[in-house]
Amino acid sequence: MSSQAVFVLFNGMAQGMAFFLVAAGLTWVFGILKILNLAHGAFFMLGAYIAYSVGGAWPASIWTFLAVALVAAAAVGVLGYLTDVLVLRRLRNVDYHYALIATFGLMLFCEGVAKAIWGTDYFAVMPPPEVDRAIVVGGSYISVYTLFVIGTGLALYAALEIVMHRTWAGKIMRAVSNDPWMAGTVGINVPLVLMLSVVASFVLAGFAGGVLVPNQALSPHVGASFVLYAFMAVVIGGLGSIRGTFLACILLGIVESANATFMAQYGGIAIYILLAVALVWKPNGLFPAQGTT
Amino acid sequence: MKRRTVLKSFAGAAALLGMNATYLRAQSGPIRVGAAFALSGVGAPVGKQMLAGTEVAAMQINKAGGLLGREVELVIRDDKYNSSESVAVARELAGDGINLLLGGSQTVTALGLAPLAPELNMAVIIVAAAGMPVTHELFNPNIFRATANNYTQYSSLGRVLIEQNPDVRTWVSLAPDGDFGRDSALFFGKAVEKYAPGEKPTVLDTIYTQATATDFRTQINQLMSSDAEGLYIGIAASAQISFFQQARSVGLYDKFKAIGEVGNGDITGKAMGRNTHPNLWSVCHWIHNAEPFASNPVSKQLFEDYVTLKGDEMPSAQVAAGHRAAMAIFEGIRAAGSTETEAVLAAIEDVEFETVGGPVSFRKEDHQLVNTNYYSQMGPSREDPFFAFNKVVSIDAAEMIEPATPGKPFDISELPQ
Repeated sequence: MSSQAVFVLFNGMAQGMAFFLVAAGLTWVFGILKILNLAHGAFFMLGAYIAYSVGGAWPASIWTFLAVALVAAAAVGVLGYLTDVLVLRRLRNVDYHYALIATFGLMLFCEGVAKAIWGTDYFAVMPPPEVDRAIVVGGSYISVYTLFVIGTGLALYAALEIVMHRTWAGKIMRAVSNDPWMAGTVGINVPLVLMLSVVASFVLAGFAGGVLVPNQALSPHVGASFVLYAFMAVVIGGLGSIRGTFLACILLGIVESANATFMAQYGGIAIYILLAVALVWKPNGLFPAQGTT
Repeated sequence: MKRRTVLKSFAGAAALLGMNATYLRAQSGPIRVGAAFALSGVGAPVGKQMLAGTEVAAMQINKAGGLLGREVELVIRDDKYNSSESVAVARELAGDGINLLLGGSQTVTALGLAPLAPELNMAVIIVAAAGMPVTHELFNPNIFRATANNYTQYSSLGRVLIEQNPDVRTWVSLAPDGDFGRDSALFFGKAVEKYAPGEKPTVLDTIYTQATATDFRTQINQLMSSDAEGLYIGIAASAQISFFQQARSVGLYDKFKAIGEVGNGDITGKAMGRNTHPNLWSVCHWIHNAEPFASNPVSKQLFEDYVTLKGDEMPSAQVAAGHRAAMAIFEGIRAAGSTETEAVLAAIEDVEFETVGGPVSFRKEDHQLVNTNYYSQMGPSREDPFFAFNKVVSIDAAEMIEPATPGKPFDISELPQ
């Protein structure tokens, strides 16, 4: 395999895992609540800003960096709780169009809040020193920070798979997702499970913001660049399917990377072709979650 | 009173009553000047700074007694960094009786505004759009470009980079795949070849990306694998900062001895701080505390008034662009002794006025600004804000401006190489 192909695969994987870190919370909340949260990118952005405010532009070590990402995750989780109480809870028994409009409004609100607090200047956060360097593999320059992102994405996927398929909590969530009425009749506290699912989704968004902030200039629009890919991955993978979203993220990353390497003059076009093909070939996604077909 | 006099009086009164109320309003009260900048969206950080410069200019004029005995009032609109929105804003302002407009803070909005100006009978000052079509194939007598165009800016940047870094013999550009990116990289590369002392340097093929890309690892790998030691970056705003974030980690700062960038200037410096490339050159509109700006009276006053108005002691270079454009229209009104479109347009052709970077005027044939262009070198610093401007170099536009060809597309191949 040529070094160029190796680089495309590596870079695709790196991009795919960055997409997955953002998409995980999005597909999680859809899987449980059947709500497509258009404000997810905005909460990712808030997580990034919180990480910047807490940890500054130069993280002292990778442990500090991870601790700051967890603080951002917790803070956005609290915002998720408030969002659930004030907005999402009221939308559970109404047509999904209302949820789309409400979360779109929430997205604009979050951007406004970010501008009011942090202004419109750009900020740049650097990777922690342990991963702030490159290694050369087969003539390709590979950032150690992107290896860290790949590792974090894989670990997150493994954790979500274990939680969803190997724990009681996951089984309860799946039960509520499949049939909330029946879950309630067997004694499951459905409102609590739904609230915890929302909080978990927001925690994931905040964590993604904290982990990916060294990858991008920080601005009130930073969420938009990631969330577009995240939405594509959720659609291609199957709404509500973590496994499908994970694979779709890798696919999107590799296609995007190959596009940039081999067809730079048609930058960005390949993923739209992929999306169109996927919608025609598998309109319900690669791994449609139960209840979405 | 004679019957004829009475009839004339009645006719005059009837004519006055029949006049458009808006027109009457425009002849009294404040002079209303439209100011359409990108105040939301990705262009907002730049647009807001330009607007601040325009607001300071209006404040200075009003403090000095106004124009034609009247105050200046800015009617501010958000063009949302969007061509169709800039057109809608211009139409709305024209409908409100405004015939003097500052707009086109970026080429994308200027391309919408430029063809519309004659139809709306407006005098439009294009604030900072550097795209060549504005004063070439899209030229019309109602528009003036108050900034150097792409050819002047980026060929001058190339000249400065090679003259300041003659030991760098191989250059490459990273540019957005669009008219601006292709043009600016071409102008930069041609100038590097033309002005290099001694043997002609090598300019490699431009590497293209998207203007709003978020991931540059592929392009960074291409740059790292090339023989180049000098780089021009044609991507701007947040994309440029993301590029530096991603590039610094893989050692691009060690490989590239000199980098020229499109004009982010202190926006990149503020964001990158101590991680700014040590030899980063920018198209520079203004640095208030660096010579030759620091000793320029217009610059000193602009800084003082900006601090008074905004309470911020770190004005961006873009403030000067907004100030310069506003002063162009204010000086035009003063010289014309009128706010009528035709009179102001004719007057602006002849005015010469002082700016933070010295005197400027407009070339009559194509209404292109003729000024001195500045290029700053910055690098990291140990003191807050952790970056510093170390050097400013100037090039007179007269040395680097292309021949005026209004109505005709610019073609670099027609220039002597």
